[in-house]
Amino acid sequence: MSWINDINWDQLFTAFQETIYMSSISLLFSIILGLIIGIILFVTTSQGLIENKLINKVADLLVNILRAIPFIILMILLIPVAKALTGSMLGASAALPSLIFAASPFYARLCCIAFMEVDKGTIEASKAMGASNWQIITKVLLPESFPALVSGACVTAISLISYTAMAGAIGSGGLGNLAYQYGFVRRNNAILFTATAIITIIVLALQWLADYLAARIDKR
Amino acid sequence: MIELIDIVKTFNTKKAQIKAVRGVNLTINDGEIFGIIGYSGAGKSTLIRIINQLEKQTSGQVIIDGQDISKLSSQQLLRSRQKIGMIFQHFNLLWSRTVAQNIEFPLEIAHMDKAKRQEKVKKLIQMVGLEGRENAYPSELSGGQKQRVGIARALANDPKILLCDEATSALDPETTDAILQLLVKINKELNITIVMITHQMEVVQKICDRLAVMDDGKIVEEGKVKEIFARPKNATTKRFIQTINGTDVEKTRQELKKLYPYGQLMRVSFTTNSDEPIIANAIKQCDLQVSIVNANINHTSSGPLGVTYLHVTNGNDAEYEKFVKALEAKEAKVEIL
Repeated sequence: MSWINDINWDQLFTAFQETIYMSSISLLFSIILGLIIGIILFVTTSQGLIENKLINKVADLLVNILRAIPFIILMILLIPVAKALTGSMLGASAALPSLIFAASPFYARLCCIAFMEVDKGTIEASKAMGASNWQIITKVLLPESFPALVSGACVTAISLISYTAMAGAIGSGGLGNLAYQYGFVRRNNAILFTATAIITIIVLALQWLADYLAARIDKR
Repeated sequence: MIELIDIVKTFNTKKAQIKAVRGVNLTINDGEIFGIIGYSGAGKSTLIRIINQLEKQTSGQVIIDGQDISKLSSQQLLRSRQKIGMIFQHFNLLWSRTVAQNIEFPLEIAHMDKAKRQEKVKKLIQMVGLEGRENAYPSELSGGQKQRVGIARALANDPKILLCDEATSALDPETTDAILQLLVKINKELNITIVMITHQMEVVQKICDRLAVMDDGKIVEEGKVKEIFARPKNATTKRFIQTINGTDVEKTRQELKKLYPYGQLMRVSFTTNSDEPIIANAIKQCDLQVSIVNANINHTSSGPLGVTYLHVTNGNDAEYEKFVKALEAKEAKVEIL
């Protein structure tokens, strides 16, 4: 068990905290922004609740462009933004803007797909009952697509965790950074494998939680 | 009263212009059950959606109780829709809500406070006969139960009008009957005007007071159900009625003529409400041999409706005439074949 001595547990714990911090904060913002963009995409589509070709096209293009840029490049492009917001281009907080920019359009697309799965008939029925567009969004669209929104959030969270590992390459901290800087560059296999194992466990736990939640809330 | 005046609806698709409704005029009276029947593509679904403005007509007016509803502001329209219930072929319930919560939904839309909502939901569940299923989810219900939830939901805001969009088309015959009985009960007890579109003639026949037949975006025949059943004029109407009678009138006539070349063949349709044995009484008054060679009795909301083919022999023209008079005196319609 000599390899255990190669691990600096404090360092590992700090990296774990950084990964959780980056993933959860960026997930929170990505869910909020993604939902808003997803709703905009869905309601402005042709035959939608508030049909608007221009807004729909602009939002669609924006989502597609952001999704097209590879994360590692997006990170570099957003260094000035990170600097302006956090005062530094290093550290976990500095990684947040690029994580949010990458994950929001991704989640927006998943939301849009989830909304399209909602039975058109229930929306029509709500209109027939005199529901306003806001009531349709909050009382029909969101609750009816909730299981899909939850599993979409889980997929996004898993992507975010791997993004945080990539962000490690430009010095964001976290388990990815630890695995790269200490595990790979300094040839410390114990650190490399332990960090990988922890990331894997986080992802598996997340997936399990999402599957459990989806089964609980899906009444179809 | 619902008045539809010169309703035209045109859909513009990329390839062509589709004229779904081409000039419909209809008046539906308060408290009646009005059926609109037509094959798919006849424009009836579009027409019923124009009544609550889910579809906006290209031209024409929809006047409900004297109010032109195409002139309402969007806020006023939302409020007036709360007073027009609608039920659907595929029920369109929210699967994420229980039976009680589904019925509560329109009350939430109308901003009713919680205590009042729950009281109302309880009453509605009782009315549609779903006691004990309050906390079930739609996925746990049968088709008939789902439609009962749909009906309760449509009635939640005490509407004056109930629109039924093929409400029984996805149900088996027995369940269809139960739902139709419920609609009749609602119509009688709450005095709600019911407008139903369907392609099932037996549905119209069972519960409607008046009927309009739609074909290719137009109303081709309109009137009291019994009168239309007794004397259909339009070819589409005749085809629908055959789906119930099971036979083609012209074919029956020819077949019977071949079978009974002698004597007199008569087609007797009677539409009275009385239980009087019309044919038997007429026979008693004459000295003729009468045999029933083909018969069909349907039961409409306003009494039985019968078509009977009689083969009458053993008499002369004067006696035949007397027999016909005796039948006609009881409001039967007699056709000599």
